This record gives sequence, C-alpha cells and structure tokens, in this order.
Amino acid sequence: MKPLNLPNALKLYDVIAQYLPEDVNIDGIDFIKQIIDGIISKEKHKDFIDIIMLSTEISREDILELSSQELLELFAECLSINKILLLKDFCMRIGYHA
Amino acid sequence: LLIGDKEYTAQKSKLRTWLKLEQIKSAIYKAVENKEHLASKIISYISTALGILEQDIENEAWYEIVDAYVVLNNLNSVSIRFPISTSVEKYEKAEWDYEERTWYVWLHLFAKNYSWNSEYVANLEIEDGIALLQEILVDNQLQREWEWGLTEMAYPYNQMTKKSEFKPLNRPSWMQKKYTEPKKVKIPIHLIPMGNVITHKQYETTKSS
Repeated sequence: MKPLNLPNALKLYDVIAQYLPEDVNIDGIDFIKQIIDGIISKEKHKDFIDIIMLSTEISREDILELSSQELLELFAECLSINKILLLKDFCMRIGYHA
Repeated sequence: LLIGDKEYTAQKSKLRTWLKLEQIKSAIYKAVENKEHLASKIISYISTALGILEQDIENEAWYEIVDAYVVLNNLNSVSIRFPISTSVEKYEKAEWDYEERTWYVWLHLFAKNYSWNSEYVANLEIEDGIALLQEILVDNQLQREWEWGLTEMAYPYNQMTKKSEFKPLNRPSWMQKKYTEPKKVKIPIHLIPMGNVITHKQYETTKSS
C-alpha cells in the first residue's frame, strides 16, 4: 500500500475526521477501536469501506469478500501508512474542517 | 527538500515569483474556507516556488507535500515588518483588474520611478521590493497632501468658529500615528473625593469574586 497523495488524503480526512478521537495520546488499539466504535454507533458502515477503498486500490466487491481479520488489518494499515494523526494535525492547523 | 525520490533545492524567491506565491497563498486561504481546490493550490505553491511542474509532485505522499509547503512558506516569509504590510484598507476590485495584475502594478511603479527594466524588477529581493514600494507610496501620498493643501477644499468654512480651518488629507492606515495608551497622571489628593474611594479595578475584582 502506498501513502495517499494530498487530494486523496484530504478526501480521507473528510470521511474519517468525524470518528477521530479527541485524545490522541491513547494507545493504538484504543485509537482504532474508538474509530470503529464511532462508525458502528453512527451506522455508517459505508465510511469504513470508503476509507479502505480510498487508501487501497481494492474494489468494493473485493473488500466485501475479505475476512473480518483481514479487514481490520487493512484498516489499521490505511491509518498508519497515511499518518492519520499528522493529517489531523495539519488540517486543524490550517483551519480545514471536514 | 526531498519529495518522492527527488531532491530539490529550496531558495528564497525573488520578487516576481514571490508575488505569484502570495497570490496562491491567498487562494489557499480561500480554499480552506470553501473546501475547494485546497490540494491543487498547495501543489501549485510548491511547483511555483521550486520552478517545477505540478505533475512532477502531485502523486507524491501527502506528508512530503505538506512538509515542502511548510518549508517553502517559511523560507518565503518577509523578514522585516513593514508598516505597509499592516494596512487594513480593503480595496474593491477594479473593473480593469485581472489575475496577474499585481506584478504589472509593481513593475509599472518601479519602472516609472527608477527606470528599471522588468528583468531587474523581477529579480529584486522581496524585502527590497516591499521597502521601495513603501517609499514610492509615501512619496506619492506626501505629494498629494502638498497639492491638497493648495486647494480650497482643504480649508472648509466652520460655521461655529466662523473661520476656515485646515482639513488634512486622509492618510492610509499604515501611515497614521499608532494609538498609544494615555499617560497615567497622579491626581492631587485635594481633588480626590472624600471617603472610601473604590477604583474601577477594585470594583471589578470584588464583583467577580
């Protein structure tokens, strides 16, 4: 997986910003858990798929065929490779609100 | 500056490029508000500052692009705090305005005042350009004030005093005197009211506590 270019990184931020925890000093597992919990509680499962689709070149159909373990791993990799906390910091600094 | 697998040398821009960068920067601020074309404006800023094609960098990792933008933005910031840059006047866009006009306005002023050619003006240091622009505008303003003082309009008749009084020509905000706090003067004891005098500051603190 390659890191996103700036236009796509901003698209990613537009989708994920609403789920990002306020406290960024929590550990990685909690961080991902809070994002996923947010997606589940808002019942926006499409966002979960969109985040993976934006970050990878995998089609929706192929994503739906992945196991839950693979999906979680892929999701975590999307956040990590795109330095999601740095992206949040940059967007906040320039006043870009999703 | 490392973007992708290519290394670029970042240098402080000269006047013409800097004016372009400032224009892009204000487009970036607008893009942040409107949420439109932000990424393309940031990429455009970097390509202009480095003199490279946008296509060369547009697919690189976002954090490398942002890093480059921050470095170039800092590098191209003005190192002197010029009064003219604190101007608060808002100018309406003239009918004859167009996108690249800022550069031509600057070039026109420098060519008119110093007889410099466009290449020489384009390669001025940013601070030199701004400082000279300020001097030209100060000269123009003082000239206008002198001419104003020679006209009847500068001496309107005051009905109350039955005299004509000099009314100076307005100056732009950056040429006006800065507001300063009035000097603190001690009030002689015999002028202070008798009894327990509570100052406004004391009153505010007791009210809040």
